[in-house]
Amino acid sequence: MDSTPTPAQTARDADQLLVEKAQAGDKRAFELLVVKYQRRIARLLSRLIRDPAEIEDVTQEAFIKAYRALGNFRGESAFYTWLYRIALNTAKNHLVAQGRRPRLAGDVADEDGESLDAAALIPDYHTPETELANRQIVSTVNDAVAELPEELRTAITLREMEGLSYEDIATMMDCPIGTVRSRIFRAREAIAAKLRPLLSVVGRDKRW
Amino acid sequence: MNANNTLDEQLSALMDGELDDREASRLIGELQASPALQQAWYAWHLQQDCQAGHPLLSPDFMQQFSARLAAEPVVVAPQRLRRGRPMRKLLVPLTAAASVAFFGVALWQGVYRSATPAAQPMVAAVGQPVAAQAVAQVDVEAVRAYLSAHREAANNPLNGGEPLQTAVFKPAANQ
Repeated sequence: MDSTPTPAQTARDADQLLVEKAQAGDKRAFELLVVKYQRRIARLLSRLIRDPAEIEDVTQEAFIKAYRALGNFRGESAFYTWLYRIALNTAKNHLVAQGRRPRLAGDVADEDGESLDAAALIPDYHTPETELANRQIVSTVNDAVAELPEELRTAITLREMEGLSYEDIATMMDCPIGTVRSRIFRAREAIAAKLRPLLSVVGRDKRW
Repeated sequence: MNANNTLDEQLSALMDGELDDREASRLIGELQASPALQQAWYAWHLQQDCQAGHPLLSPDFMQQFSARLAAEPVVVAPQRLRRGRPMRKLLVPLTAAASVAFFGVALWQGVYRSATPAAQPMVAAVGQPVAAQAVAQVDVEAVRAYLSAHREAANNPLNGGEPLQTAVFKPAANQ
């Protein structure tokens, strides 16, 4: 019997490792999970709440509630599934407290939020400066991807856009899995090299 | 490729769920201790979310969140067996083996007890005349000595008893 874990299983285990560290009292481990999931949760909440400032407030509140409830998380479901439910409940309670009726913007509540038109859901964010900074980040990433050598661009696109495993990418690109791993890493490094100047401007961006 | 690049490449694979349990566990420890790896974690997830079309948040979102989190009491939950860890993987087969062993021992003990010599008389006694067995094993000399002593005691007037009717037992007379 083949007992090789699938990427989904090991990604879930990476989350579980961070959850266990957080459950043992390590707040930094929980912050690493917030870094990973903050935008997915914000995107989910943007289907219930229109105001961008409110979306951020409720996103923060959802993560704080998740942290407080972390002792009850038993790992029976994926961490994101558990977090997703907390975020939805937090948003509904927020709307009820405001005297508003909770209603999803999309027709179908997809747990991963992947089935909706992302462009239609991205709200106009905050101040013009923040909006400009975010647009710069998006365009820098797009340009950096476009400038990658073909084999790196194909590997990172198949991974990020199509969600394929290294094994599947290796089959499609007719190369060893180790080569796929190296290409994806080099692509990320090349993109991050273009992003870092935008993230490290003192006084303008304090992302982390 | 230097050691930092190796760690960075492993971090990239960890993000994609392409590390095994042991590597992932070790790398999470490195990630917690290394600001450089944490910056890579942040930048790569930002890039990933940009490509996925997720909305970007305010530049100070994480700073605000970290400040709120710092004000929270530390959560300490009992550790549980994590899915995929070696002990957890062994738990089911070990439990099954222990159950089989228990029933095996119980069955063996039942069979062994029923086959031991101590249990045999119960089985052998069925259908056999107990009186015949007992008579065959009587020590005639010992009985004779006992009856003789009993007679003497019974005939002693100091004991206040009636003289024993020796006609009842006369084994000595037959000798």
